[in-house]
Amino acid sequence: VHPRERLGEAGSVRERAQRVRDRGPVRQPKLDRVAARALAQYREQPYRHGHDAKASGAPALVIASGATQEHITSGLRGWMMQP
Amino acid sequence: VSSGDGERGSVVGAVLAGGQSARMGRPKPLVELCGSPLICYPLGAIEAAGLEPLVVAKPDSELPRLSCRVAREPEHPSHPLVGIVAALRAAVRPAVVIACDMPFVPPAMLSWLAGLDERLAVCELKGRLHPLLGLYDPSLVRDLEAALARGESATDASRALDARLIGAGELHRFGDPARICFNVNTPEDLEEARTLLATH
Repeated sequence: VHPRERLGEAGSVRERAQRVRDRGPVRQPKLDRVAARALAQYREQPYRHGHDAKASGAPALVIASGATQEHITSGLRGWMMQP
Repeated sequence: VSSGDGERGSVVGAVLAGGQSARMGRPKPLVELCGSPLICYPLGAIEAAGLEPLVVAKPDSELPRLSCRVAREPEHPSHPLVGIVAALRAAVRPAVVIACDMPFVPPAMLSWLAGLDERLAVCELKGRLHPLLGLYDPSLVRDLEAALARGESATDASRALDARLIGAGELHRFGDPARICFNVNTPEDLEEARTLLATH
């Protein structure tokens, strides 16, 4: 069996729909605030770690688990526009 | 011939929900199927497939409360290609497109579609194309807009753009092709979907 075909076994059709139904809307203002705080840390860390960009990536990744790409992108945009 | 194992970065799973629901008589995304709004079914498959969910709908389309990104397509015209173009413009990446009224598309099939190398691939069953279940590359936007301007159907546009056709032979890997391509257009279809779900 192709590995991707096993995806079909991950929960029934009905259960997957219920999970979407029960999740509810993302609270965008709250996510934006959280993302901005994480990105502020991201901005500060290169100086602390001698411009080690890889070491500074973790906080943003943690926040990304609960936010959509749009939220992260908008947070990044705001971050980049700061003086 | 691509196998569906290609690497093309993240792919969006776009659920088209801007239809008029004329035959159903009420907004299809909200129609309840075994306790959940109909649109939650393709969204659940997209999430299980690991694609980034995106819903595309008209400005006045009624939707349930959703946790994913929603893009609004132009109010006019009412045409499937409008939703597909809006999805590609919002995604700026390849998009696996699925209609909001297709509750039985398996996640494995969506994942496989996302891995294809073609710019355009749509399902075909019994000689009928299903352009609202396929893979679209963002480089198609101008061609699709031109097709829209010429008044072409999504089916004609798919043929003209030399879409890879995914037939029953390939769909069989993921389940009953008729069930995969089943869509809920009428109250009778909804009843049939309930029956199918009871046996799933």
